[in-house]
Amino acid sequence: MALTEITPVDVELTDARVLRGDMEVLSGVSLRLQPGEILALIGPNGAGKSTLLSAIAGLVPLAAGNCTLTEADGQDAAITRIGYVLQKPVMLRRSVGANIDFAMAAARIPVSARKPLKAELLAMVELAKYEHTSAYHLSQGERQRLAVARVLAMRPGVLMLDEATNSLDQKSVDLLEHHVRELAAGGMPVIWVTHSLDQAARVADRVIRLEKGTITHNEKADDFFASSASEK
Amino acid sequence: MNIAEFFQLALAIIWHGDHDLIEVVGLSLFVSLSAVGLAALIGVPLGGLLATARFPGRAVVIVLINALMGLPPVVVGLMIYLLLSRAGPLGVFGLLYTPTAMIIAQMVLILPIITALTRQTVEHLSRAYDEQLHLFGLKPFERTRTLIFDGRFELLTAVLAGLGRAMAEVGAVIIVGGNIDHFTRVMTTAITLETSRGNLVLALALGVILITLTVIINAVVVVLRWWGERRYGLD
Repeated sequence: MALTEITPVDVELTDARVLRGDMEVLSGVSLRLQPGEILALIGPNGAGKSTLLSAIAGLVPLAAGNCTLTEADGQDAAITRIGYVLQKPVMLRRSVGANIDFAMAAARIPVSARKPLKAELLAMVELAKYEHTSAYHLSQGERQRLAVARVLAMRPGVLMLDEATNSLDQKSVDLLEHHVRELAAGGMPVIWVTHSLDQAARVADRVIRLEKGTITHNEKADDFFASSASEK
Repeated sequence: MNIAEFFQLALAIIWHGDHDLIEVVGLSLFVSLSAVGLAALIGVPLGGLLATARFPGRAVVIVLINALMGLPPVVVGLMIYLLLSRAGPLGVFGLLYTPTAMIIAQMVLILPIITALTRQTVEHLSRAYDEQLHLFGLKPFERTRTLIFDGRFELLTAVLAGLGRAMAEVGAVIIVGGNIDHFTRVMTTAITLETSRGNLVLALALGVILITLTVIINAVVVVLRWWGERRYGLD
């Protein structure tokens, strides 16, 4: 069960509208993710980027519109197939290894596959030496890496990263970008919320720009950055 | 005799390890720890469920359990007495004036304390964990279990609060236990009896032991919690 063996989930959001109290935080947002596509979601603070991810994950209800997460066989995807790395992931109060064990158990990963998968993930995020250390003792950057490993331990069919590189040093950023590109090459659709246009330019196949809850740009990354450059 | 002399004699009794004294202390610990163990077995999951489940009337149940934290021990003793007395619905078991009756009474007294404090702890933790646990796709029961496990060091305080109440309790156990020598006499009931008899030295010796045990148990829990927070602490 190698990490790059991926069964993608089809994600489609149609005319999504999300309210927070009386305020509309998402308005008429539609998007469809292609397998293996890395979508960079950009926009100013409060544009609705995190809300969009939360809506896809079912963390916030849609006031209107529709969100479908479909497996290759046409069945609805389980929540554990959505690999959502929260902006502030909560570390369970147990060891690094136990955090990953917990995620694998939650996603009903076959017991025989858990040990090698955990070893692969810990090596991937360079936390193998901390396997028995409490997650509480990790730095912010290490916690972020553990959060990514924990999400991948569930063998998701779509990966959503909410400013997942905020606390990472450049080496860790490069490493994460490299691994995400590998996962995408294996067919994993990815939504990556980022404030860094450089990062979007490095990783994204497509860029969506949100502003005040609506999509203002939805273009291929090359076109988006070419038009941005010409605007300058 | 002045107070200092009372203390000297009391400490001498403790030092010589009087057999009756040891018996009373042993029974006290057995009754209180059993009651706390049983109350924790019921109260911790119940408090966890109250924190995570949403059902009609939940707020009423929470208010009721909070109110029951202040149950008057003599009233609980009386209720248990009525239940266990020969004419009562549980009289057939012949439990009145036995340590089991004392355990039941103490358990009834501390169950609301452990349940209410567990509910508060788990609810607080749940606010931080909610989104993450949703993403793990956990069933409600699994969610509650995870929150209880991750709140285990805070929950020690809830259990400790129950133990404190149990150890200090006298009204209920004297009614349902009867304070029978060598059978249902515990520290608090013995202190009451010896004081009324004027045997202040023995009462004081028991009081010193009771306070010492309470301090030791508190210290152990504080150290455990401190260790847990340092090792697994909260964000």
